Amino acid sequence: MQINVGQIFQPVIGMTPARAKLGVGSFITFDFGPLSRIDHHMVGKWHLWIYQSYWSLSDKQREIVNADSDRRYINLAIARLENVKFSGVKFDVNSLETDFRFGELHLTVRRPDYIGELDDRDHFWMFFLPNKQVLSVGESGVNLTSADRARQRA
Amino acid sequence: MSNRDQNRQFRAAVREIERILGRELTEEEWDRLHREVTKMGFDFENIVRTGLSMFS
Repeated sequence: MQINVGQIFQPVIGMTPARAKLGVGSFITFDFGPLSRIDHHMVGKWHLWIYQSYWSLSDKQREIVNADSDRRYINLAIARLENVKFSGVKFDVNSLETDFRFGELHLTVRRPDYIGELDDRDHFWMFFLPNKQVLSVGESGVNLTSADRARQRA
Repeated sequence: MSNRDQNRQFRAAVREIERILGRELTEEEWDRLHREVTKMGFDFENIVRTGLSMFS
C-alpha cells in the first residue's frame, strides 16, 4: 500500500507550531495542537521529530542555517518557525528528500552523510500522530507503524 | 562535540540500551528518551544510564 505523506500531514496544515525546538545535536522537534504532559514534558497532539538526517533551513530559497551550523544560530532560526503557519510537505519518494514548508521558510531534510552504514532503523524524521501511529521516512523508506510497538526483526 | 557527533552518540546510546535490555526500543521510547536528555549535555554513559532507568 502506498502511503500518502502529504495526506497524513493534512490535519496540521495551517497550524502554527506550538513549539519548535533544537534537541540533541541537530535534531529538531515540532509540536502541533494542544500540549499535554507525557512523563514531565509537554508534548503536542502531533509531534514531528527531525532525527538522523542532514537538513537545511532556507528563507526564500536562501539557506539561513543547516544541521552543521552553530547551535546558537540554529536556535534563533528555529524560533522563527513558531511564528509561521505550517503550509505543507513535499516528499520525493525516490530520493527520500522531504521539504517541510512554513510559508517562505523551507526545511529540507535528506539522508545523513555522517553515518557509515545506515540500516532500516535509521529514520530521517518521524511524525507521531494522535492515534499512536508514527509516520517515518528513513533508510527503509516510508513506513506507518504503531509508535509503541517494537518492530519484528525479519 | 559537533552536532554530527552528538547525533551519532545518541544513536549509539539507543543501540547500547537495546543491547543491554535485550530488545528493541519503540519509536515512542526513542522519543521519550530524547526529550529526557535534551539540553542536559549528557555523555554516552549518562544517556545509556537514563534510558536503562526509564525502560528497565
